[in-house]
Amino acid sequence: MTASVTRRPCSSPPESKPMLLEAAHISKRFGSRPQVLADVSFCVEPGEFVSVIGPSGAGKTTLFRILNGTLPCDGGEVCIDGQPFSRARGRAKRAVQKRIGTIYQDFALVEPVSCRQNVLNACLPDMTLPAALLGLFSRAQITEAERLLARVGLADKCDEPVCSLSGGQKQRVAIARALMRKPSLLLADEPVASLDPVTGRQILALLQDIQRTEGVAILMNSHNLDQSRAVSTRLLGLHAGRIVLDGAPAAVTDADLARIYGGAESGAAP
Amino acid sequence: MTRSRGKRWARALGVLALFVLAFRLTGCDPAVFWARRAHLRDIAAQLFPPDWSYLSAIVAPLLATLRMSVTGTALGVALALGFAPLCAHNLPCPAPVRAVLRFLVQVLRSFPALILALLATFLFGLGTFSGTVAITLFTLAVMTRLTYEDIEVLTLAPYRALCAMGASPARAYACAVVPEIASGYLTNALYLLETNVRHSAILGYVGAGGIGLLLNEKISWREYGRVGAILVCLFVTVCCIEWLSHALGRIIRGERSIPRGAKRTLWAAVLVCVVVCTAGIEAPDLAHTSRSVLAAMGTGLLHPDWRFFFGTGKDGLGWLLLETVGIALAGTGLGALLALPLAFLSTPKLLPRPVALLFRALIVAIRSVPFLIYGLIFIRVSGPGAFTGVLTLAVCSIGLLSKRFTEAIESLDFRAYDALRAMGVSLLPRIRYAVLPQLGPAFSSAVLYRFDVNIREASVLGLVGAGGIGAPLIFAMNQYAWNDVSAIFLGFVLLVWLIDAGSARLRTRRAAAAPGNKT
Repeated sequence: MTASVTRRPCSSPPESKPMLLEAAHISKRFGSRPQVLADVSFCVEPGEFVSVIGPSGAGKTTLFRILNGTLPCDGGEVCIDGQPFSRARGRAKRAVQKRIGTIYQDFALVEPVSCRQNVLNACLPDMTLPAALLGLFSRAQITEAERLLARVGLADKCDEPVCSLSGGQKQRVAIARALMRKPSLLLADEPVASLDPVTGRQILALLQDIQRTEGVAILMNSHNLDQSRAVSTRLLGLHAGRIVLDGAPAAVTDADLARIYGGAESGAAP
Repeated sequence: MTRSRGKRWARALGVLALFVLAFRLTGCDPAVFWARRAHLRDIAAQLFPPDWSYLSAIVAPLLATLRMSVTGTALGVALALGFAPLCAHNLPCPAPVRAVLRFLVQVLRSFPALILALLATFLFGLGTFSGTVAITLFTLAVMTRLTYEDIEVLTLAPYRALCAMGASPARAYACAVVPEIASGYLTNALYLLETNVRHSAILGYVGAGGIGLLLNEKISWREYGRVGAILVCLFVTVCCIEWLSHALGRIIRGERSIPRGAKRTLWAAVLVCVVVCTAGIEAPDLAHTSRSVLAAMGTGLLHPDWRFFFGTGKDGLGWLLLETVGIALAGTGLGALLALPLAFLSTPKLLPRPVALLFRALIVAIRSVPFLIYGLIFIRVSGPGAFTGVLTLAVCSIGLLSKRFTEAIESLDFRAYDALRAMGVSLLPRIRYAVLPQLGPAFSSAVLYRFDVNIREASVLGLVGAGGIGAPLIFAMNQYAWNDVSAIFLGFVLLVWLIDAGSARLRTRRAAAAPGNKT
């Protein structure tokens, strides 16, 4: 039996509460190469844990870069809390970006500085330019950064430079930095791809815990189907730049996987 | 957190205060420079177009300069291979011999090639022989240090295995240690050849042969068109040597493979080149060297003038050394400020490639001019004194500093920068928090290294009246006041040793704090 792979409606009726994230008809092409994303539409509701799965080159990372505003899309629109922002510039764009936290496969932390400073860097968009340049963080911000580091299990590493931490610890700092923004949406781009399996499971459990206790919606991009199935409330399958699956993990069948991974992966998790 | 931030601010303010103090001590006055900037423009206008009719007179001394550098480098590098194992802690050598040799290397390293050349002219007369001796000694000191440091980081298991099989220490060294250090050793040798070509271009200033004599003469006679022609020839020579060294370096490091036969031919060509250059060196002129002269020199050098050594007035050694440190410090600070924008402009990752290459060529052009020439040019603008020394060292620091800065910028990790941009952080805070923390350690390490070099170079600026310890040293040598020379040598060696030790410690701390070293 084939699982339900029907797409959810992406345009909320005017009277209803807006979706947290709405991506409508997104398309992207780099130069004269084939289209990376074609008519990609989906929504994420508050508190969901959605995993985007698909083979290498399916367009997952490009999609994430469009969603966090670091890459413009050629067509379509991205709305966060009902506010369109894919074509916004300057302050308007930064105001929407503040609601999104992103964590990366390679952590993207400033290695020579302390964990606390890396978490505090998330406060920079809210500060005036002189205060930001002089590093005048408030007592409340410093306390909050330390609380979040304790939340991810690094209470004793506040003063350590990031370069002295292990991969798993670095990803925890990155999660604390993302949470510092009090985001309503957390984008996780291959968060466990550069970690060993045990550390990877710990990080995913932490993300799941954050989703459940703090109500933050998580959109994760992952290669590992087993792990995605275990933690997600919904799976999105991307193949050749198109959404080919949108459904609950339990309902995904081998036939669905064959459509996503081109048949090679059916019956076996990649 | 507050305490560590307070510490950082205190350290930054301390460094700033040190530079301000150095600028005050050396009498730096930007207003004077600005008011007299027209002189600089006039000299630049007279240098170009160069007087090409003078080219035929340049070739012979330019070749003499190249001969001195090639022979001096080859001899120094070869001798260093013999001295290094005697200085390394992990190879067998009687402790007193090792201590004496390391001390001699440290003393020799303290002096710039120019001072060694001046000393050599007292022993071997005027001409390229003295220049070659100076370059050989300078290379020997630097190369021995670099090589024994390379040996000391080896595990030496193959060496011990050969010794256990009955091989003599010398044979085991040649067969088990030399192959392991060969690549680094040859790369260092090429780097020294590059620096020696620039150094030997000014040795003629003290009568040690080469193009320096001609350059000094033409500047004194204000024949700037001819000075321009000499500088262009030097620039071309330096570019050729750098290109050659780059190409050979790639073969040595295995980045470019050539057939075995071609490799042999290449080494044979290098050997022939060294032999031809050595054959062209003038014989020493010993007519003015007598036993009594040597005895007076030896006695004087062994009996320093302690009154001058401990003198506290403005003519005492302490003040002169302080002024030398001030010149080196202010010159390095100003040089770093000038090198910073040039480094960004010559990084192909940040700017279109042709623009970056244009700025790279400009940096090579700045580097190819010997530092005494800058001294002679700046003295027309800022007059005799320490300020001229500061300006000279600042311009001379640009080459090395911008090269090191560019390397640091090229190895920057932009992922954190992009992550801050995705969070909505604006440009300046992004640079402040994601770029500067990564560049800081590399930049300060480069500045510290250049300060080390500048201390030595500041000691010869006195030759052109640009302040510091150089002028009293040259006067004392020319008047055969060997007691004074001895006191200055002693003070200078102590100063260089202190600064070496301090900056090595700071660099180690910086390197330990740099990313990737604490995993």
